[in-house]
Amino acid sequence: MRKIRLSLALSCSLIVLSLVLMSFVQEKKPWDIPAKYQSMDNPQGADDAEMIKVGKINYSRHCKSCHGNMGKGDGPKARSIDVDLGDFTTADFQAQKDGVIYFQSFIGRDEMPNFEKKIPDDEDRWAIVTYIRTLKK
Amino acid sequence: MKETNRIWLLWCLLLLVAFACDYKYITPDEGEPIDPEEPISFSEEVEPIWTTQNCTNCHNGSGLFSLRESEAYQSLINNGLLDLDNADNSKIATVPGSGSIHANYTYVGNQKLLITTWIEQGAEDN
Amino acid sequence: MKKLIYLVVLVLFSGHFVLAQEDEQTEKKVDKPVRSPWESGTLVNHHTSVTQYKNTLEMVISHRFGTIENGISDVFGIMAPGANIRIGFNYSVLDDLVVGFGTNSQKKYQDFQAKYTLFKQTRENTIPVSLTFYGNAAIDGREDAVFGIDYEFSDRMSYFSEVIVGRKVNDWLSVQASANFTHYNSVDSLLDNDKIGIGLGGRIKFSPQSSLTLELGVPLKIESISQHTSFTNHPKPHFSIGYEVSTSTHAFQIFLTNGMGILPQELYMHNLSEFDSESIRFGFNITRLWNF
Repeated sequence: MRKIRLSLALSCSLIVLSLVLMSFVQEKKPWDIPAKYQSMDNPQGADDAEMIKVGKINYSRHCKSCHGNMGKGDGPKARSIDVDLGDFTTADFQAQKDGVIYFQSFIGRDEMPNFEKKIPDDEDRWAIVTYIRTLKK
Repeated sequence: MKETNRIWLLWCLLLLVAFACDYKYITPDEGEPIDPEEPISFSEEVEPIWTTQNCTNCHNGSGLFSLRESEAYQSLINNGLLDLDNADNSKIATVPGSGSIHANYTYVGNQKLLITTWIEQGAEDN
Repeated sequence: MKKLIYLVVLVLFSGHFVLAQEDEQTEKKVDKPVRSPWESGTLVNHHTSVTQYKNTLEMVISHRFGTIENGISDVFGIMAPGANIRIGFNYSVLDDLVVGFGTNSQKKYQDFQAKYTLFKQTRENTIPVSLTFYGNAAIDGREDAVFGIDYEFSDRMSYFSEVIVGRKVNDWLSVQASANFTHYNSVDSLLDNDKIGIGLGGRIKFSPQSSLTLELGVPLKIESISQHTSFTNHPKPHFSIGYEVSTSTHAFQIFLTNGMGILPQELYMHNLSEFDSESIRFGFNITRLWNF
């Protein structure tokens, strides 16, 4: 009887512990951005219509399926991804420096793929960043 | 340096193609001549043709009539594929090699002649 | 006439020596190639000037269903027998040079291909068009008896070579034209071994990812290279109209076409189907990219 109570108490506490730990995982894991990218600035103007158009086409092709039309992280593929996809419309996201967004978009980490080989042209990459800036609410 | 390598690669490809070039007409191989007097066995000589020529890839009984062994004879009768009055006019002889579906499924050698001769001999299930 | 054709092809290749110098000069001006003139390297049956970046592997699955002549009874050819498929892999050795291999169900063709874009249209229009060379060699894999008496391995070979000139007119319209040469080592005695053809292609983009594609291939009746006094069973033009969607890693094309063939030489030499309600069929191409 004592043994049963002990093992019951142990399993209960383990369940509670794992629930607590899981809630930590749901939170956003901070990005580790190298200094080189921290100091990068977007060479394109925020209202560069040509680049916004190029950025939109590239965004539609490469990013929309996970990040959604508006960048809210509600694309069709988002459902099968566990990690937080971020919300590009929020002030928090937009407050990040250009180089940080650049790193997150093209170097990526974990389930966010590396797009360096898919989009090797620098101008195209900055065009996507310029377009993402327009998604601000 | 890369430019030169590229050019060499293209030249090599071109030469490879040039040496393997030929101009030839296909003279169909009629195969061994068939003696119309000699009785032809359906199960031994005619029926295997439809398996060898891959007809049974589609004509296997599920959806299309079967030309597989021990099933083919019944299919020929049921689907009107034999013309006993004019053997060469039989669908089983004319359809392979024609149309968009059968364009790439043909008889070779003396197979067609074997089938038509068998029909002329009475198209027995022998 | 055959010698003339070889001479023309050789001259085109040697012309590369001269053009190579022009290329270097243009690069110094930092005028980059236009973005995405086409969604992928394949436009239904023809090829485009698009080559993937270096070290990209592309898998291409092509399927042509049966004809729609039986209507709903076989779901407009989708469930019909008599389909043709090709599975191929292309690898970008350089940014503008792709080599590939494919296997087909029709005639069990095994094909080897290479595509090289000599120069690409630039954004500032210093180079107004893209020029691409495409070539392929295919081995007909059917049994020996198909090739008649005097069988030799070389009877199985067929070749196709093409020069493609393409232009991205504006954001929503791209067009291309090509001149091509088909050669079959062995053909039926009523046909010619050689065929020269003209190809035309277009893409109308109506959304960031989707476009309408059009393609026409016309085999020409050229008496000077013909081996007969008249043309028997001259192949019919092949025409396709389709819809294309592209994503980061895939391009999906679905279309209506009249030719059963997938390999261009098969279409330019042997297509006898008209573009009418008895002979048109659905087909699709799917490409998938892996970057290394």
